[in-house]
Amino acid sequence: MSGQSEPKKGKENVYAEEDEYEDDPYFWSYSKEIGINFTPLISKLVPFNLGQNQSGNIGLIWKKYYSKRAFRVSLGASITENFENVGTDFFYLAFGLERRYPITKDKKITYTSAWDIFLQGNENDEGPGLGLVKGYGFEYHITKRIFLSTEAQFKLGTGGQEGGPLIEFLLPTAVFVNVRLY
Amino acid sequence: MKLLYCLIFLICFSLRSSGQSSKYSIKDFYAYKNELGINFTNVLGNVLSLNPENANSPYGLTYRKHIGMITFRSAFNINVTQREENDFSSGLFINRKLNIVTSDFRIGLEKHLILNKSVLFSYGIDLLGSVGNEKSEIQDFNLGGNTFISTEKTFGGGLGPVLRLEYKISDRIFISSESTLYAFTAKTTESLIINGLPQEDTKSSDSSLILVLPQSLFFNISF
Repeated sequence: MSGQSEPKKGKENVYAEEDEYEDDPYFWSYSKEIGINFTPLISKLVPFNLGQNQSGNIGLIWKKYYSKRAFRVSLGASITENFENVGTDFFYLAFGLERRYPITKDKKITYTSAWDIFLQGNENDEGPGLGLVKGYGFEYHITKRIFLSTEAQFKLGTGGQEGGPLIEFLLPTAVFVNVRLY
Repeated sequence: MKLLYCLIFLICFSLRSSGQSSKYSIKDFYAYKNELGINFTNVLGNVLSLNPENANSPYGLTYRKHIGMITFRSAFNINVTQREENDFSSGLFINRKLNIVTSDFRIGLEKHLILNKSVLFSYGIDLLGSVGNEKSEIQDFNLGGNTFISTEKTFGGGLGPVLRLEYKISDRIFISSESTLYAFTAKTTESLIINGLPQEDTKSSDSSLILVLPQSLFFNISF
């Protein structure tokens, strides 16, 4: 009789792989991640959403995880010269650090805490916005390589109305589909 | 803008340098080399009554050819409108003709990362092209037979990176969606001829940089 139980056939036992690396506290350590904002597509497929959805300003998130913390870049852009799109142009770029904490023992459900420096602007503002963002995210890891995430943000900076300060608390609006790369 | 492109380059380079540790090979994922796709979003919205919002992708058809770990990708859309009407209202007689031909196309290359046996992540770069020709002719038979012919010609081009997720339903059937960051510029020339006399042409240009989030679902068949 064998002491080790073999993984069930057809079911990928991805979470056990982290034990192969003693230095890595988590299975996401030393990996790269790229997240795509899938809210527009999901809102088309989910039947009980009949209103106009808001996807937020961030379209792509790229992260590089070290042992416990990650460096991350968030990007969103829609810049046109076309007069038909007046009022819709914007730009968002943020650099920051993130840390992920497991909620469940199997690490399928996690939350993140992040600090970002952001630069943003849109057609309606008098000047570009610059400041700090504190983000709290929630994630569900479908497999070791694919996971869903969303994030709430508290923004503090310049670029508010009429050149004043910007203080915003943004509830989670977007669902990101993330892919982990090794 | 330069900072943005440096950033995109770094991300693409980083993706390229990521080693692939998956135990599935691309030959397992793609059993056939050719793939034809059609934008399926409106079917989901209209026929299945899921969500009435329309798809925003300009491309209706896609063709991809897999060559090892690299795939040649292309997409195409054409729109032809011809309309003619005679207006007899208020005792006037006006004949209007409208011809519109627009076409959007793109070609590119992409590389793959197999996430599991059913999900594939791809990243690549596209070259875009767009041509358009709109001709409007109005003949007014009331005031001595005036004729107005207006022509608008548009040529555009661009490029940008693409990120794509594909789900394998079977060896022959896939569904996919993608996000793009396209920089695009287009030049438009408008000309007007009144009673056979050409007026001075008007030229204009449009440029854009848009991060398009995934909002179209493509249904792909391999052969």
